[in-house]
Amino acid sequence: MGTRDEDLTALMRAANGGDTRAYRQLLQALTLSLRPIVRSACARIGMPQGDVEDMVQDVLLAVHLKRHTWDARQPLGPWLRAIVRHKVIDGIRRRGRRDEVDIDDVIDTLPAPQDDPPPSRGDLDKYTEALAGKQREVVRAIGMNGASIAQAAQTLGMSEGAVRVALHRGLAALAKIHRTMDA
Amino acid sequence: MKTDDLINALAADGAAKTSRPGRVWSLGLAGGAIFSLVMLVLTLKIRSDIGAVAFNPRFLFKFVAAVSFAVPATWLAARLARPAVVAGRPALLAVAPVLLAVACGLDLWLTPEATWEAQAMGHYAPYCVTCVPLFALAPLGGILYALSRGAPTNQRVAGLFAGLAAGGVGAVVYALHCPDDSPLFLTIWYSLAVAFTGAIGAFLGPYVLKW
Repeated sequence: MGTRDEDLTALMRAANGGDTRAYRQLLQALTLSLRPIVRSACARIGMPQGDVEDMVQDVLLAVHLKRHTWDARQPLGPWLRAIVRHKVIDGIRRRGRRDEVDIDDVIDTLPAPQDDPPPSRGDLDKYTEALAGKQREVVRAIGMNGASIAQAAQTLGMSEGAVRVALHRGLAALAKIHRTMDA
Repeated sequence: MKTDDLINALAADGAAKTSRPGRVWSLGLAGGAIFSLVMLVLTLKIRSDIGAVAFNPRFLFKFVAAVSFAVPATWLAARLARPAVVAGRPALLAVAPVLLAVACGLDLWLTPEATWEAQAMGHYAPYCVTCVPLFALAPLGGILYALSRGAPTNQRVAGLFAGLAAGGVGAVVYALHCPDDSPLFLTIWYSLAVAFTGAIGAFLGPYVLKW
């Protein structure tokens, strides 16, 4: 990730300090870098391009749910690459491709962010569909409708604390659904 | 859900408190160890001559050896919970075997040859090989739980170190009951039991440490 490593590290440190905008910026930058990697890994082993976005989301969820395993005294790059490598190889294996995947060279030369639009898919909702009631409502209200925690609490008639808990558990459940549905 | 939508949700959750690794580890490890200790006191019981042997070097050495193995194994397992962290120094696992070798050498030097076989076979070898892994189960559960809250990328090896660490804890617990104090017995049977626990951990790792 070359010189951008320092930028990402700074963003993650700010995010850990509670800076939500920095965190969003980090996730967006990561997504843009990630898409070409996953796309080329998929192309190389003949996986349908339709799986690309699912795998990108899977990596984002892993980065989010495992961000406490990053040691803030270290640069973010190696940690990020280890997560990406693990999840991409794992995702390819789960989709039944057991061939040796050598994605290291792709990841080590993480391309500059490309602004290529994600493929449009009709069934991107299959994951949130599998969430339990409250979690699904909260994840969709905040994700798809862009509501804030406070707005979601008001619309759904829940306390803000309950929304936070449902959101956090919903995201953890979403990662698990990714793991099981693609198996 | 579109990726941008997912990012909305992740960013909103960004302020949520994440689990603190240190706390999860001490909870898992201490919880497992205390559970095993209570089980030992309730079932097999601490050996009745504990007062007489409490300062016996051969008795105490069992704990020194087990702790000198459990501590580096736990440390190595904990490092494997973090991606892109170098594995640490596996050579530290050799401290316990070296101590055992020295103790065996001393024992063979100080005791008559006629007693060696009886020392090595002990009174309760089959118990030792069964009970150490049994008393290691709760610590193993605790350590695997702590590992699963992290992000181990090599789940087989992480499971192996978890098993070895738990085996060390199980050995400490069972040593409170075990009447066989010879370093020869310790080297043969406890090592076998800890290796077995390590194998259980390595077997379970890929199943329970997925993320």
